Amino acid sequence: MNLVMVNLSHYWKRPALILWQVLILAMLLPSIPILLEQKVHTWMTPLFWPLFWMLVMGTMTATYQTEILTKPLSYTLPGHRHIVRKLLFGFNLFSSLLSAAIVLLLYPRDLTSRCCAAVLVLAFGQILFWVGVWCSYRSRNQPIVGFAFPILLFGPMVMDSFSIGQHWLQPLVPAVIAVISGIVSYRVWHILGRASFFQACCGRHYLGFTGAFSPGQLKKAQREQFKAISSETDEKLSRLGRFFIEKIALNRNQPFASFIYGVMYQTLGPVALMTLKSHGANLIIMALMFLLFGYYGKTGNLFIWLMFIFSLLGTDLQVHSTLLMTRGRMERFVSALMSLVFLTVIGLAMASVGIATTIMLEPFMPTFPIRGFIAEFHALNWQSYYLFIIGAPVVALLRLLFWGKRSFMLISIVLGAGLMGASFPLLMNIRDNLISINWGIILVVLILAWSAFTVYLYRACFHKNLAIK
Amino acid sequence: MTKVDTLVQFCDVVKHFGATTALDKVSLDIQPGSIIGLVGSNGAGKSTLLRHIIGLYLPDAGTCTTLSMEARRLGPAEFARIGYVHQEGELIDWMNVGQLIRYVAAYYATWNTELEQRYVRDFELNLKDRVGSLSPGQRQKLAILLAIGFEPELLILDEPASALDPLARRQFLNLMLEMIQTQNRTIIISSHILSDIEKIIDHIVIMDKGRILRNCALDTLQEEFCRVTLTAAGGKLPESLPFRNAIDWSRSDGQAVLTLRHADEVEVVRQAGAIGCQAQIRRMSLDELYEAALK
Repeated sequence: MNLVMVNLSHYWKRPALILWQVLILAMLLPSIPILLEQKVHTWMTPLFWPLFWMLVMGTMTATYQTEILTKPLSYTLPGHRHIVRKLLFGFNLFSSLLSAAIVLLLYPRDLTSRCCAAVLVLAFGQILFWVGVWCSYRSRNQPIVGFAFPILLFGPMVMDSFSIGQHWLQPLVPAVIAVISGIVSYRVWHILGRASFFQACCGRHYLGFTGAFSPGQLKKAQREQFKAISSETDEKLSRLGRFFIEKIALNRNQPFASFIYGVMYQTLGPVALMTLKSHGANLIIMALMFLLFGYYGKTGNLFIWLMFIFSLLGTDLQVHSTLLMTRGRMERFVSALMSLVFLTVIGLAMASVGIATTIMLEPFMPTFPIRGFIAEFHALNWQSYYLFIIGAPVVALLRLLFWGKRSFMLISIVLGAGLMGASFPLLMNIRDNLISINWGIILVVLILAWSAFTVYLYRACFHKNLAIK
Repeated sequence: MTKVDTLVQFCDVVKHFGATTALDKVSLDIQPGSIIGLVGSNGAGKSTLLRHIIGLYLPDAGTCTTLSMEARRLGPAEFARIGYVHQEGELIDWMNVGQLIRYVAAYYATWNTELEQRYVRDFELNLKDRVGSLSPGQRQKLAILLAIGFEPELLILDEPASALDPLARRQFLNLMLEMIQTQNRTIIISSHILSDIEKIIDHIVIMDKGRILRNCALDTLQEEFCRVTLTAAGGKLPESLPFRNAIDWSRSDGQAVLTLRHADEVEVVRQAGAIGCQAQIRRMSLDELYEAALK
């Protein structure tokens, strides 16, 4: 097997990656009806989707390649560096030609406009592919999934603001963009061929895509982040620590209480640490997301809870900790259950603060047009809060179910992301109905979700191994 | 039936991980006050056995009893008597060393602050260092400190010295020697560095492919095997050597080194003399004993 085949073999040897490839390819399919019908959503231009797809392709392709490059073995393989460059260019060419061909064949305009559109997609798409590659390379210790979700959520809206309208389809415009694309590609070719680029990648800790599901890799990534925290930040954190440690010591004879305090400390500590470290940057990002959701209209009310549900994927309920302390299986069970309740309450409280902020800001937020569509700010409301109360145990259950089974977790997340993407139009349509769902049904689903989590947690705590082999 | 004086008891414990049998009908009794060395190659089942003791793993068949209680049912009262160092040293990375020590100490009524301070100093741990930024050796020192800080009755150490430098290993051994002075403290230690644990253990359990090959006092094993160096007085050894209990040997023209099992020293000297050789008999190191026991 030659080096190209060894490199490419990753794509078919790992089941989750095969699925991911299929999903990415399937992402191109919506461009067909969008092109044919000219517009699906008022704010989406027909050429938007093939271009957006190029950005995703670039991000995902570079993620796998960067993962490979960080392995010291690949650095020492003679000639491997040229293969990575060739593969990235090959993938770029393949995907840009594919999206351009679809535009050329389906774009319902005269031949000149079709050719212009195809060249535009080919050239601009190549640039977007390299943007995706750059984003992926720069993501370093950020799980690429966490990185991809904001792109999937906000990418369409942001990119469409700069998207391509009919007035761009003049022969000169594609020609200029083709020249720019050529220059960009030439530069990228040289950068990817530099020895310094490979030296910088070699041995670097890179979470990539699969790393996001590896507890060991995640811990390593966290350690990298913690290294940069100052002792001043630490001092502030110590106050939080002292509070919990006192509570633990006071309740030493009541193990459930002491472990619930322990789990709270272990859950809140890193959040507080990272928030303090970035001087509130995380809070600002969260506030911005709330504002953006306000412009999404009623769908924003849905997204706010989805955001909190997904954030729970990163929490650890300490069921499988090997740091022994005085914790038996029963204590693990009760403290895990209580900490999920605690996290749910914290999530609801944080969302409430965000919602209250949007209510206060509503009168002051501007209204502006995007491509004939009026973007108007609506204060978020509480009407879909049950989604979080149902979603929290479901996510926690998934984490427990797939604990130690990285590839299953990966597949389920990929499927979940795919389903979410596929059901986006459906979500847009049923958003009004969601809030009017029968409360009886909601209550039944809620009880089912919490019961399923509790039953499985009991099983995990009392009938399963608590450490990975 | 659990004996009153048995601290840990395995009874026909079987554990599978998929198609791999990690423990194959393991039976073992550990008495209070013993210092047990658990040795074996990678994948022999040492860590699996240790994790059964504290109930992190559940047996597929058989029973595992710790402190007179089924291991899966161990509660806070029992865990307050057990110290455990995990071979990967799982710690809480976002805390600094001082915070982690205070956090863990809060759970134990018997936490010995004096001991803690002494070992923070001896191990050269900086309380302000972030746990996540510690070197593997420093992490292991911290894990050891957390496991001994409350002076547990049963101390389980899974590869505790693998990441330690020679100096730290010596400190660790001194610590172990100090700990075994306490009456009725039981230590179970698994390690690949046999020369280290040889100095502290009084009992050895050798594992291979999920089975216990040997479970005996270290003295018993040392008495069972010996190494004999034969030197030919005439410069050349005879073609065949008369030691039927030799399990291993290497020879050159004038000298042979043999590993003998159940050898009577007087008889060995007599047999060597009969073939015109001089015999030097010595006790074997744990490394050599381990190799011999596997044969």
